[in-house]
Amino acid sequence: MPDIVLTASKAVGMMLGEDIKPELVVISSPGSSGARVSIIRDARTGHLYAVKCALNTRVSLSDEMAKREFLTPYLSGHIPKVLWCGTIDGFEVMISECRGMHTLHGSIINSNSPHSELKTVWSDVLSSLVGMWEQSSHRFYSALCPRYYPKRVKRIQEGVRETIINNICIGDHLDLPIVINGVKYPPMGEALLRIEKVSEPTFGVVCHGDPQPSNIMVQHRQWCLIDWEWSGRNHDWRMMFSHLFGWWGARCIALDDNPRLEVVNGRLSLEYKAFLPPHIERYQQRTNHVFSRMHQRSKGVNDVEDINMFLAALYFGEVRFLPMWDRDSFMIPMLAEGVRTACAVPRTAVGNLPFIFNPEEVTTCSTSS
Amino acid sequence: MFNKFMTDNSNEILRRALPLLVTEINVMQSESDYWICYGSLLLGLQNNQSDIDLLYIHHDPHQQPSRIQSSFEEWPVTIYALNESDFKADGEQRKYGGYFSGKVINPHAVLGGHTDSVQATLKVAGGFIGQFAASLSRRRGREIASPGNIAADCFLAFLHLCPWYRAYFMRYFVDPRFADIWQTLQASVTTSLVLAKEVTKLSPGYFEYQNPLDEAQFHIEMIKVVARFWAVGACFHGGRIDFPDYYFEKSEQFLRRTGYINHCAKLYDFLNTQAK
Repeated sequence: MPDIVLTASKAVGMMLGEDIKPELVVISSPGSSGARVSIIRDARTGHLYAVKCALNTRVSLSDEMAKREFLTPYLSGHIPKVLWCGTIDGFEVMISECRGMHTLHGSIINSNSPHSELKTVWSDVLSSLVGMWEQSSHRFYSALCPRYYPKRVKRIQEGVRETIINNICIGDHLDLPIVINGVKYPPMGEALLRIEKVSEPTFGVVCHGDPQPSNIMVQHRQWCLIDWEWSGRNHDWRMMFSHLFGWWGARCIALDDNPRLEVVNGRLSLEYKAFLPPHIERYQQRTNHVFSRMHQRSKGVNDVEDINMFLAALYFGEVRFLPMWDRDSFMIPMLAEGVRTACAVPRTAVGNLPFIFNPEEVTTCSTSS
Repeated sequence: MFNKFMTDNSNEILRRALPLLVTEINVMQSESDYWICYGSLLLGLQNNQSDIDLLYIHHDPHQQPSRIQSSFEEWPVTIYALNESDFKADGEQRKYGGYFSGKVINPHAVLGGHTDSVQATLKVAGGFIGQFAASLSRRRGREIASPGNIAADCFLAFLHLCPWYRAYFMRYFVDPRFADIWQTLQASVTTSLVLAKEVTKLSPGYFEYQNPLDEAQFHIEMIKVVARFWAVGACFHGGRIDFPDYYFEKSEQFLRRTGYINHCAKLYDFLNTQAK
């Protein structure tokens, strides 16, 4: 058994008593922090426990537990209790209530429940997040943002530069003009510079920091938020919105055939055919009311443009994690959509969904479906 | 005294960070509030995974000590905010088991405040540890001490109260600048005890302990300190009843992971030699 599973079982044993019979129900893929979550069942009682094991993560599990407290005043009932936290065999371990074995992402992709139920859950998540943002608004200081954008962008830019696809190192071709599905775009290097430029929001909010469907557990129409390491004040609601909107393009698209990337005639050519299944589009469309409510409050003139820069950063940022999740084939679409989202004008053109945010287009689609 | 160890980078981080971090603290603020920086940033040992560790000493009488977690440019920040009365009480009366006063026995820098803030901080440290150091010195049959003796007595006393502190002290011990750090600690700790009136100066380089505890008092005071320290720590860490064990394991894990576990005997030898 992998070390992590043994450690997780030991932790549950330490919490409950040595004669527990632990059964591994499921283990997650590593998250971007490297931590993994095992769901362990106590065979005597059938109770489930979510056991997170981390080794030298940037944010310790002890600190993650503390950050949970930012959310509890606003999301009462939707944040699982922490039952135990300690160190075993060099791993930091945190045991929480297990309120469901499936993430919202998994449930939607696998259609575990009727989509009418899942859409209701998603709508409730969005309402709760907006409610939290509205209640918690305060003066924004970018340096205090838990997801400090300049450093995040630098990591993303480095990740793209180091990406190798078909023996082509992207970093060696940043200055080449790009052709995406036959349409010309500025070079990748220019796109990577554009995503640095975002204006400040008119206020900061308390947020989870990474609100997206794989951080939401669901069971019988009830949901809860997990993975609180980025929680805190001074979040930029437009960046958070980009996670809610961009998740669907980043993680739920399907490919029609193998994407291609080549250097030809002094250009970097990216070809792919991807689509977002119609039943999943409807989840993305529901994010529009989030934008409407927040934009009405914020009145930021650059909100749409900044959201698209955050989206471009999100797509570029996916690239360095895709091999870890065995999703290498999506590297080309993510690079391409990063460029398109950062550079495409005009924003009002149709056909940009599901990647580029245009509030009018999202509204049109949601009213017509 | 320890400002000389701060790198330009550390100074620059604090210069930018403190005016913003003060907005995270929900107390009535005043001109005489001040910051105390300690931990890895103070000695320029920070890396991408280091915390920025700060005390914020304010003058709002209505606020209990609090722990605030924030971040500055993605560096995790931990701020303990407490009013000056509570800070002083953690020295003189050991009200919080040295949870705060113990931090300023270690290398630290006072930023802001008034001209007395530096000395007030040193006095707090001396008030907390002085009697314990005096008692350990008396066990050795010595009531007169040099600055080297005083520093060693204080750190041995601290280790007596919290053996896992060795992981913390080890960071200084293995630093290439340890000789200089130790010199500065001697000056700082001796000044602390002078200000707290735990020692008086007899002649240049010689001090006399004033208030050693007898064995029974030492035992009681130690028990009180230990109980308060871990209670405060557990409260600040989400009310976790396993907080002490978490702390023990984390300290030991640091020593094992770095290989410094093999240096612990040398660390104690050094302090015991300095205490002779």
